[in-house]
Amino acid sequence: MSSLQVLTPKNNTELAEALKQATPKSKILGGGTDLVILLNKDEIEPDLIIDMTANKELNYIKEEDGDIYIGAITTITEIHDSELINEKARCLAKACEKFGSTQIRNKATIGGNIANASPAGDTLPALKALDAEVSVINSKGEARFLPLGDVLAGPNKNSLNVDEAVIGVKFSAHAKPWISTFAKLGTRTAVTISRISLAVNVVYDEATNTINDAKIALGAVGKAAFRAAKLEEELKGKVVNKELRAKFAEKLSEVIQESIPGRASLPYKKEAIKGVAYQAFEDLFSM
Amino acid sequence: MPVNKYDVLGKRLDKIEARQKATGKLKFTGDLKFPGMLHCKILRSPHAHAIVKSIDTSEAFKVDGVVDVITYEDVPKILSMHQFLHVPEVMYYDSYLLEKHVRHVGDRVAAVAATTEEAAKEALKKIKVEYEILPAAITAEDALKPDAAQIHEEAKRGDKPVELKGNVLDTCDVTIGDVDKGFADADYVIERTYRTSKPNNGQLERTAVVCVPRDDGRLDVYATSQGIHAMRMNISHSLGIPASKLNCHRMYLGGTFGAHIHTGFIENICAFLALRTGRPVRGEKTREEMFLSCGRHPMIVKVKAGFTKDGKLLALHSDVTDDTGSYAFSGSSKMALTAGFTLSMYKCPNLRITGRSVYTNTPPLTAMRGAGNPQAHWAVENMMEEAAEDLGIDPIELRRMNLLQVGDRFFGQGPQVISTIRSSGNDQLLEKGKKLIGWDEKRNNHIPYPDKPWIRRGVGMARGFHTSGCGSEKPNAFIIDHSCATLKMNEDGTAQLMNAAADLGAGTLSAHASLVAEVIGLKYEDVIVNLGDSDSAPFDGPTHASRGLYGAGQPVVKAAEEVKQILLEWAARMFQCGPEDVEIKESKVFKHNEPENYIPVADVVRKGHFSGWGAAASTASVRPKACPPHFIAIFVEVEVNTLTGQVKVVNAVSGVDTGTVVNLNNVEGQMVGGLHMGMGYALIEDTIFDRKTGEPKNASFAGFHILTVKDMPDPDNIDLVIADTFEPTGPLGAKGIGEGVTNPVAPAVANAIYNAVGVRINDLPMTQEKLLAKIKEVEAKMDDLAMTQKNVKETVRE
Repeated sequence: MSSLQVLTPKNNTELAEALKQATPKSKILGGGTDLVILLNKDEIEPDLIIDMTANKELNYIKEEDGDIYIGAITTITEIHDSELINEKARCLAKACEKFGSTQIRNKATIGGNIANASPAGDTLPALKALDAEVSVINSKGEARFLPLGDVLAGPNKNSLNVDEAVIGVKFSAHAKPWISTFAKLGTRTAVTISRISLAVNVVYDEATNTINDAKIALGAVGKAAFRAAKLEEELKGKVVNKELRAKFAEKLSEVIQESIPGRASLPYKKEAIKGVAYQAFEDLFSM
Repeated sequence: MPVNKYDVLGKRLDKIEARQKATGKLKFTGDLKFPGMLHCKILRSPHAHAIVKSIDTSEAFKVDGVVDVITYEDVPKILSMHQFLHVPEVMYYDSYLLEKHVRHVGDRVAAVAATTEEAAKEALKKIKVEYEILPAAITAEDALKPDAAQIHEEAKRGDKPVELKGNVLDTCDVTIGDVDKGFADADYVIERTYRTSKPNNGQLERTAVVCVPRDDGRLDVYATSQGIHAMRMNISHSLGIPASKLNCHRMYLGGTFGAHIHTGFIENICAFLALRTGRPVRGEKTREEMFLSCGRHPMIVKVKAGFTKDGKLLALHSDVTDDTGSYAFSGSSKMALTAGFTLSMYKCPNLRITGRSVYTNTPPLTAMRGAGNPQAHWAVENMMEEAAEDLGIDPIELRRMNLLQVGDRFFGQGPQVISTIRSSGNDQLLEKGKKLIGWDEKRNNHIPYPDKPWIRRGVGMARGFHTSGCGSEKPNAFIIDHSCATLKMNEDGTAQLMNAAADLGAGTLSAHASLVAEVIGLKYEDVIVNLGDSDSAPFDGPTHASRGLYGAGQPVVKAAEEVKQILLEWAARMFQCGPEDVEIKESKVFKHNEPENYIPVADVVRKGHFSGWGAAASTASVRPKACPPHFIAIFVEVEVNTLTGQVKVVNAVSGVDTGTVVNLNNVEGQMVGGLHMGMGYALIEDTIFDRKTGEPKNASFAGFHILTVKDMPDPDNIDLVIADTFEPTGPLGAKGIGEGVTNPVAPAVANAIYNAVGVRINDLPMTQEKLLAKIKEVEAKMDDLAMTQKNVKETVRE
């Protein structure tokens, strides 16, 4: 049994100090909902675990100058319950609603969900559809922002350096006329891992029933959550009706066919995405 | 809920241990700790099929805290059985505690005992094993191929060696009547092949055991076991020690669903290590180990049925291919039961069953709620629905006209276990279920939301049964079914029951307490049930086959009647009257019609005991003479999303014919739980193994999903129907309930899906993928049809 050191920094200064000791074998614990399972299964043998949960500096949800900031150790439950998030980043609140079980939501953190970079991570498509940027700190105490897409390097892989940790995420507030939602499909109604997840964030003009801008992101149908850029362009200026819904579903199906060609799950996912698309439209436009 | 004449039965009573459980005070096996206790961990094979070429434990011994390490070279060379259920001639032996020839990923290679669990785990990593990897057969089809590697070289049935050719361990072929003539006379014959999946029991409490050496040289065994005597026989055989050397303790269980009917050998291994080291040894399986040591047998069931044009069943032939996994934990009984149970679904003069039980290089499969019967129901109840459609008869009507009736012969555990049906609530269940689900209104109304035509609804039903125990009119040549109970009165007026039947969490012991209270006339809370052990409790079979109340309850009633007689005689002496002049109610004894002039039962016991009149105690022993079917009818309404293949059960009716209701809470708990488990079997539950390597793909609750409460219909949309019946052979008229409530659920869901979207999936589970693929197939055909019709019209126009 090799020795394992656990550090629990109380603030960002201590966190930077802790990161000085990090090696490629070290792990950072956000909520532990994935890490502890890997530890129990002996799938990882870290030399050092930096437990983020005592660093209360990183527990916040706030709005400043039109941007929303969420600290890394903010739990999924806290985000789900936040009025600010429900009003100005509803797709993230919805993603948090469908995230794991109550127990998992109480423990899991947004920082952990980002850094863990699971292809099926529920907050990731929502954050992609919000153009989120990830705040990272290094062992010298220097902070920098990275676009979320640059952090997600592949299935359960992030691009951070060994001496870096996610300390937060920011995105611009998407108040009305932005409206957004999140829909997902799993094998059961709750406590389920996404097989397809979809975040839809659009500028909707009620008066003309028109979509004026769109940010669409998909999860669990590729190595990391990604944006469907072409489809976003095609939605702009379109009137919301059944034809648009059908076209939206059809186009998403094409996106999936391009994303996971030859994958065993493709025949199912390219059809089932249509149901997820319809669900999103129902939630956004009551149709 | 039927009205009854009872004081205690039929009411909603707390389980006797409910408060201990709710407050966390009750000790389950895994909670037990003893001074000097060692922890056992088992080294498991990473290969599905291999021979251990060499094994080196020297480094493992060097780990701090390691006390003992054993391999196949150290364990007794005794070919052993896993469960002790069947009569000695049928009992099946095919395993050693640790194996040189490993037969599935997770098979037992070596075991460590250490002062901490961590040290034991560390030692496992230090054991060096060299394997010679053999080709593996992961499915029954692969194992049956002529060139498949042979998985077992030796096995015994009773004391006779089994001649193993290939991987078939047993076959069956039984005919009743003249099947050929039956099919020849039939106007309509249907033949279908159905497949079932391999769900894991998934019970909350994992297998746990602590074996504690005693000062007298014997061993106390505390374990998650469905039968202390069966476990004692099993361990004593595999270790080659006398049964009396072991004292197996009855423990409360956190659910089993059959996972603890056998010993998974961790119990035997811990006993062996405790005897070797002289120290208490504790073992507890991880969840992954649970997934690698139990589950329901997947079956291929071919059904051929012949009907008259009016729908009367004339002939039925069921052919079963049973995948038993790498060890035959229950011999070939699941093959015999699945095939045999198909014979008991409906009245049919000409019957035949054929089958084969096959070894594969997958974890050993076991009993799981229904013991072969969910598989039988899946085949027969899907087939009946298709037959009804072809014959143009309402599916409920087709079933009604072919029902077994009171007085008919009933095969309770296959054709060897014969009894006569003496109670049936079938008609009540079908009538009430049909009304409550809204059958007539809903069968042809599929679009609940006009603006969302991709959501379709449908209703369906299936019916069936499970046996209550394994009793038969004559002692049978298949399975042990016998129960005993000792009851004594205490000097404070409480009654104390000592028996051995396990309470799997379903409330069996509380039901026994209710029977005692009802028979004698005591308050429910005045009955104490000892957990006890095999040292003090007389022999009983394990709790399985829904026999905990029906079978094990019979000697409880008999003993209570005998104790009551003693109390009445003593009270009569005190009242100076005849025993027929007094009665007991709510723990008080009084002369008929003079309840105000009573003597507390406590005073009667004291008077008797202190005056030397004797002891108010009795031991009763009963061999149940029947295994009455508890009949079940399940009706469900489903919503199918034709875009995603998702199925939601929105309404359900569970109807049971369980005879006298002993405790309404427990009966309803079984009904809802059975519905939930059956829905999971229908829709999602399956354990997956790589077809080549046999590696488990989803051996955890993250990968193997069980439906959650949110997948259940809203509680207001579940109707529970209990038929008003009385089983003359049962304890105070009661029958079983635990397994029947699951059996017909999966086909009921299948039939509702068919009603909703016209799609039938014959192999379980009916996953979103399978459904959506079939729905698309049907839609494509409809499009083709529409196109053809359009073309035809256009051609005509031209």
